[in-house]
Amino acid sequence: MQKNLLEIKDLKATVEGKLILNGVDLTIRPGEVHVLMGPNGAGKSTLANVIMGDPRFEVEEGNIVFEGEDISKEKPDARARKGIFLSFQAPEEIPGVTLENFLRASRAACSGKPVKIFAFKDELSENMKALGMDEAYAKRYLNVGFSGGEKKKSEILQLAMMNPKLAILDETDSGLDVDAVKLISENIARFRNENNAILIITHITKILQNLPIDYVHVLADGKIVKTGDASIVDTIVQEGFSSVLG
Amino acid sequence: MITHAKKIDRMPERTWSWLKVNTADIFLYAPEDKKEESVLIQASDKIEVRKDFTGVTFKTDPSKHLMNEEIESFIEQNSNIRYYIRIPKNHKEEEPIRITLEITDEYNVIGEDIVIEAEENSESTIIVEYRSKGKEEGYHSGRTRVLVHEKACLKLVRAQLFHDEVKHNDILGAQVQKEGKLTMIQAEMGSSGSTAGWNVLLSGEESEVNLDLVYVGEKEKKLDFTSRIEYQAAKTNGQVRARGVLLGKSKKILRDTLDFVSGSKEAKGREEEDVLMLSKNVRNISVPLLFCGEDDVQGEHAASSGRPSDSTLFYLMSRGLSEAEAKKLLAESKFAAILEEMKEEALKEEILSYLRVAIEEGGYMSEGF
Ligand SMILES: Nc1ncnc2c1ncn2[C@@H]1O[C@H](COP(=O)(O)OP(=O)(O)OP(=O)(O)O)[C@@H](O)[C@H]1O
Ligand SMILES: [Mg+2]
Repeated sequence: MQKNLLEIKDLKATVEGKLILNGVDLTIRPGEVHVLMGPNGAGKSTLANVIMGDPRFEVEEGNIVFEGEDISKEKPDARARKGIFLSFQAPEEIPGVTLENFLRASRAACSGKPVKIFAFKDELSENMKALGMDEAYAKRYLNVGFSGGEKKKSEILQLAMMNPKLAILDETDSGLDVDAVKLISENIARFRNENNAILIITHITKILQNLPIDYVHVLADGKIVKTGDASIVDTIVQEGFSSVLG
Repeated sequence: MITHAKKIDRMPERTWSWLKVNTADIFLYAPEDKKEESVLIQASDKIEVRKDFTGVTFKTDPSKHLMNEEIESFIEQNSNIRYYIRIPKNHKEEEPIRITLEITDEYNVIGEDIVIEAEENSESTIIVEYRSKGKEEGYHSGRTRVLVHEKACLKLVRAQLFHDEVKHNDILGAQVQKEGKLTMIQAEMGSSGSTAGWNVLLSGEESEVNLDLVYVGEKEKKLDFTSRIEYQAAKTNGQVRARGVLLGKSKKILRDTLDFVSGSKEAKGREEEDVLMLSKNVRNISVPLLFCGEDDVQGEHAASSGRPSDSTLFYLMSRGLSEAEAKKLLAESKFAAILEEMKEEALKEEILSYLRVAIEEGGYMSEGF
């Protein structure tokens, strides 16, 4: 059997003393596509952020193991350099830092080497094209004044440029028009291979169209209450969460 | 070396005293000799450069507002670098005029007195670099007076890049005539402590000034800035933007005055400040003031300051940047809007490098990631 990429055991996490994750277990192997669903406020974003190392959350119990190594105490940048990526539900706006400079700083930090400018620019322009992004956006300040959909594209651009081992996509599809969902879904499919894995948090299902789904998990009240195959998605969409939670 | 303890800012308004921010104590040092090996001026032969001020007169000397007679006569008696620079009428100087002053271990006291006259309808850029070599203590005190005549356009870039042991006091007074335009970018990056002040008189109708200040405070550094624009004529327009990063135990004060005097109908002014604080132990004081001696004017003030938010840092770090790298990027971003307007890439990079080094040296506070 192949080694686990991510292994989460009995994870409990709090924010300001309030328990949000109440014993999450989740295992992801290379090559797999996982979908995480659940009602609003269930703790999906919290789980994603805790995996990335968000300092606002306190891990009270359990651990997060990535490629055999406990990373629960690692800083977010160390996790990123190990190959974890989070596409944020609500990406930050950072005035004064252009998208291109940010990507370059990130590339330099992750590779530990100076970035070869021309190759980098080519790669950037190619990825922007694939996402239908105007190249002028590279010179704009990071997410500042970007529309909801543009912000999500900027996240997927970052995914493509960083090429992580584990991509966690937190509602990357929400707020996108039909064409944008299609583009993003194609780009995610383009990114996927047998060595990396994807965890997709979503309420809608269009984004899943181009992807072979291995597992669907349902998170409720801070716990994964059900895991199954792609068929659960349709049941949830048609009958609501009560059909799987009951 | 003679030492004088003096007040550089003779503030016109009594408002200050209760705030205890009215004056900056400074030390003035008289140079021992009048050697001049440490100044370099590059300009085309169309530009008049001479060492005496004969024939140079000011109806109102705009620098007087910032100092008392004692300091004035001190500067007049003791300056060892004295230049008059004139950009002639209708002339467009293509390349920037460069003035480089250098403090060295041997030549460690500079008293600078410069007059720049941009004649009618001329266009030019002047870059003044304040540099130092070696590591001994040094002192720089300077006065620069600028006259921008009708329809002249002058861009001044002043970069203070001294090392840590150099003290720096600087006064700039400018007067802008009808439809003239002065743009200034001042970068206060080095030195153990800076006291810098400027006073700009918008004397002619539709004259304009844009003043930009960037600075970094680190360690125990004290930064003391005074900015004043006096709108004397109708439809004048004057703006100040300050962007700073404070680290370690540094202290900064900026007194920023927009003074619309009678006659300044339809004048517009704006003062804007943005300070990034990367340590709990810094002190950041801002004293914005607006005086309106005319009703029909527009004065705006905007200020923001604070530490980077956890969510911003988390976002940047989630892309692989360490906390220090993330803070460096945020700090640089504060300067971006101002440095964007500078064409001199090498100088721009050098200004930013002061910022990066200050952060790398650990003058920032860890947010506990
Ligand atoms: N910083 C915080 N302070 C207080 N409560 C928080 C904080 N962050 C999250 N919570 C709470 O934790 C719970 C889980 O939030 P989370 O964002 O993880 O939900 P979600 O499953 O992603 O929901 P949605 O589908 O709406 O995105 C919610 O009740 C939320 O209010
Ligand atoms: Mg969420």
